[in-house]
Amino acid sequence: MKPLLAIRGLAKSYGAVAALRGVDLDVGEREFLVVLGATGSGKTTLLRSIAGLLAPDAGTIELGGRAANALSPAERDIAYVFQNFSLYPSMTVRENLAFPLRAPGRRLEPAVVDERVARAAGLLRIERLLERPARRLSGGEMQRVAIGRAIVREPRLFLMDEPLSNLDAKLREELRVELAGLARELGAPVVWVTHDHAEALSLADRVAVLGDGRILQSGTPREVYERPADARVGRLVGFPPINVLAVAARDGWWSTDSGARIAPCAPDVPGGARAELGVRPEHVALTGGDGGARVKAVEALGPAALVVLDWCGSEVRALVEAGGPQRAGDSVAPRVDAALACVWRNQPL
Amino acid sequence: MSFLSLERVEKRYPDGTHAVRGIDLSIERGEFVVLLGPSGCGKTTTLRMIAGLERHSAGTIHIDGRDVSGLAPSQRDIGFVFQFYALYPHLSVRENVAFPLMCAAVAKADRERRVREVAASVGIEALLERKPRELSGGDQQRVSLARAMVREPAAWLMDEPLGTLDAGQRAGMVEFLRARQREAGVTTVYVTHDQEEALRLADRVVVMDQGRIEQCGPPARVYAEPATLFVARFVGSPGMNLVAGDCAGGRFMVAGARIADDVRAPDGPLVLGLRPEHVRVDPRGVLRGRCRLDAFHGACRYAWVDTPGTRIALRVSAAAPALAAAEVALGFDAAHACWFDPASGRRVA
Amino acid sequence: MRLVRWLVLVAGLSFAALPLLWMGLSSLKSREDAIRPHLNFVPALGAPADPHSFEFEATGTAYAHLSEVHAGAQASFWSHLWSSVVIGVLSTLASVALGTACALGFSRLEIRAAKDWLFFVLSTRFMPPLAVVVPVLLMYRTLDLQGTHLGLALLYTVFNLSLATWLMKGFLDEIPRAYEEAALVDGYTRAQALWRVVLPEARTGIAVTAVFCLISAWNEYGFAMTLNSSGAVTVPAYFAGLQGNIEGMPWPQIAAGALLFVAPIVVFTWLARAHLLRGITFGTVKQ
Repeated sequence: MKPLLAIRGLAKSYGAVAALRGVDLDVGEREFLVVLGATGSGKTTLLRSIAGLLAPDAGTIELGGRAANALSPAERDIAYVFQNFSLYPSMTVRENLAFPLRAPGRRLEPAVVDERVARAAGLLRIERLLERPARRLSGGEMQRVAIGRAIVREPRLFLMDEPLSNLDAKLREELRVELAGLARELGAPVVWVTHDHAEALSLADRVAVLGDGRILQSGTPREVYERPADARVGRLVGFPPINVLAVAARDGWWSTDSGARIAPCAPDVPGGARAELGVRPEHVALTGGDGGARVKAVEALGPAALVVLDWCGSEVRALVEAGGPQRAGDSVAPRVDAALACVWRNQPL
Repeated sequence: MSFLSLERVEKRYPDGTHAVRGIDLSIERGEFVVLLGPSGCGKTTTLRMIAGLERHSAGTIHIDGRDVSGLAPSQRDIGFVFQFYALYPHLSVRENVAFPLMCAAVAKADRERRVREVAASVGIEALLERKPRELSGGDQQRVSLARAMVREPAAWLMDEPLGTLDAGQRAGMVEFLRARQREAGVTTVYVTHDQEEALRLADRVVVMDQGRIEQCGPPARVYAEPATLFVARFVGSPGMNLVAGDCAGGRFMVAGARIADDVRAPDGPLVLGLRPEHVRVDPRGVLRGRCRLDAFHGACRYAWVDTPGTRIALRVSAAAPALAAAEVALGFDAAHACWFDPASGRRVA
Repeated sequence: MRLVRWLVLVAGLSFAALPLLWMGLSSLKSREDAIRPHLNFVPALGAPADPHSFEFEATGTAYAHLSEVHAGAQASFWSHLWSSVVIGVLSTLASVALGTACALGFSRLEIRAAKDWLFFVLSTRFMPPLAVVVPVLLMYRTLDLQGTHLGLALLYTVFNLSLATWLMKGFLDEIPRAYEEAALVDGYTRAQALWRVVLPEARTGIAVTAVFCLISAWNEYGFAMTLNSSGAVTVPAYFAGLQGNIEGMPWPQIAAGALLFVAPIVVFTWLARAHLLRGITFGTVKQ
């Protein structure tokens, strides 16, 4: 099946600074794609190029099998939810929702406009806000209406530029659950960019990790989390962050230079081979190993506790059930679940 | 007497807004206290009153045994870190960090030594000659921390210092901050709306809502034994599940179904509070519903199930079978249940 | 504390408002009372019993006499006020419309050497305007614009255009680009987006700019005096012209006229005050 959106070799520079250096990306007909990247990784540039608000320096964008590079934003039939803008403050919520439908090119009957506005308001549970001026809404309500503005259009693709990033942590979490459910219900294709890995993992059908102006890895949330392609992707996805250790193969073990034996290595690895080892904190147990580690600190994380270890001079974090007996200063014998560790060979640190 | 104490402190603005409605709080020397609450709960106002940036309308504030009511911020011996870095754009990093020492008439050699030390401790030695606009958000925030630390004040006050950083940078800064504070032993009051940040940083968390303190205690206690419904909902991600029902003769009933026995609560309306990690899929469970969303979270998954009356979140292991759109029955761990009186909002058992 | 604050306020207010009050009182006097050598400032309904008291007889004759044509002028106060209104409103509309258009360009389009152009726009205000009064006079004489409403309105528009452009650019820069971009994605053209979205959000800026332009045109004296001494005379020039009055200055009428002359500006500013206040705090409320 042909993808709805196909991007090939997309590049864009601002003066001497390259924001995108050749991005290839496909989005399927009913796919929820999250583009995850740190601040300044080119996420917004990518979205704006797809929307047609920005002309890329190189590369092609195809929408529904047709070249779209030359199309104006309006002709692309894409809805865009902005990060730093949600609504026109001087219009009411209803006017804001109807605004995209009243665009001159669209020629919709007033009755159709009313009906679509009512339906979007119902979906997002904002009916009671319809007559209120937009500037009198709270942050969460604003963002709901902003998403409503995108939904009324019934576009062929939704672009979301960190729509939750300006909200309180608590509100962000609530709206996230709701939007994820809504997107599945509508079955609409979405490209959502964010720097928040939790958002990416919980929302996406597929996560594309953006770094250095390129897609570093793309896959289901599980693939990206459990098998990150390299240390950068590993660090970007997941909290508490993954432990990345420089190791060498010695006597059948991946060991740090200071002698901590982290995990057994495969028999075909030649002695002295160097690698980076990526170990998720939840795969570090505090017992069953050789010893040689000391607890530096214990942090409460609600259901779990984060134990920071000094393991023969290397800092290693372990995620354990809350309420464990460990205290700062204790000696422990950590053990890594070798099957779940990632080995990145031949990568310079 | 404790190092910093607030007694019946109130803040009323001329327009009638009652931002802080009587707060009692005492903070010991060297303690790390986090004020946690949603926007508008009065946490920032409280911090600003401690700093002297805002005058309290009633009550008293003592710092180190001294009533500071009439004192200007500069006389209170505190360092303040703002949410927006508030660096002087026309000064270099070195000059920015040295700025607080300029008005304190410190000898030049001393000043340079202090700046060097602080820069080393926050890891910005290499940036000293740059201008703030040439720095990333994380580095700017380091500089502004350095500026607060350079003067060795009696207390650090921090107003959401990590609010503008992206998720990746924030995780690292939290650990850095905590380590620096333990090392320096400076009394710290820290404001945030992010419960995860609060749990990780604090010796003691103060949860605030609508100008009042809801609960004050160590992170693990606030998480496991929330004092009020508000705290139950606000702390934790997702927050505590709350199931409303009635108690009669020790039996807890929801819509005619018996949910729990041996409840030690008076008869009448009652709310059951359950952390997501204490809810599990259980074919014999009495809480039934359809799973609305099953979201991957890295180390675990969270599923949201729409039971009659309320949506319940549960934590499931990453390897457990998928729940999305399935009809499920839920059981829970009665030992970890919290019980609340819906009228007062307070926990009763 | 409160008392002191109030006292300071009252003192400040009376100091500032005293001239206006005095003008108001003068406008109620007869000509004789107005030029009487001793102090009289308490209006009374009838003639005061004691001619040396502080009282004077309040009368509305000054207002009635405004419709007279005084020596030294060609028409009544009202017709001059009309000239002021026509010229003020025309030039304000033109400056705001053109200034906004210029500012939109500078704020939203990629213009080469935009900073240099903006500096050039500002530089038109470097020279004191009256320095060019003679060339303008010659030009206007050739073009037959002397003594016309259009002539002065054009001139004021030119003077205020740089101010309007700079002010409006500041306001438009504050309106996020995402406003138009959202409309573009929604299916509007750039022009429609500007008209439907950006301009309504710029109302505050437009109001502030209009107030500044109107005040400047309304009170201008130098050019009004030189260019329009014979026709379409504005109120400031009219008052100055009364100095040649062989009967002496008609003080009560001047006071009455001045009050009426100030009134429209006060009313206009009052109407726009909500916008003005928002305009002053613009940019500080958002983070």
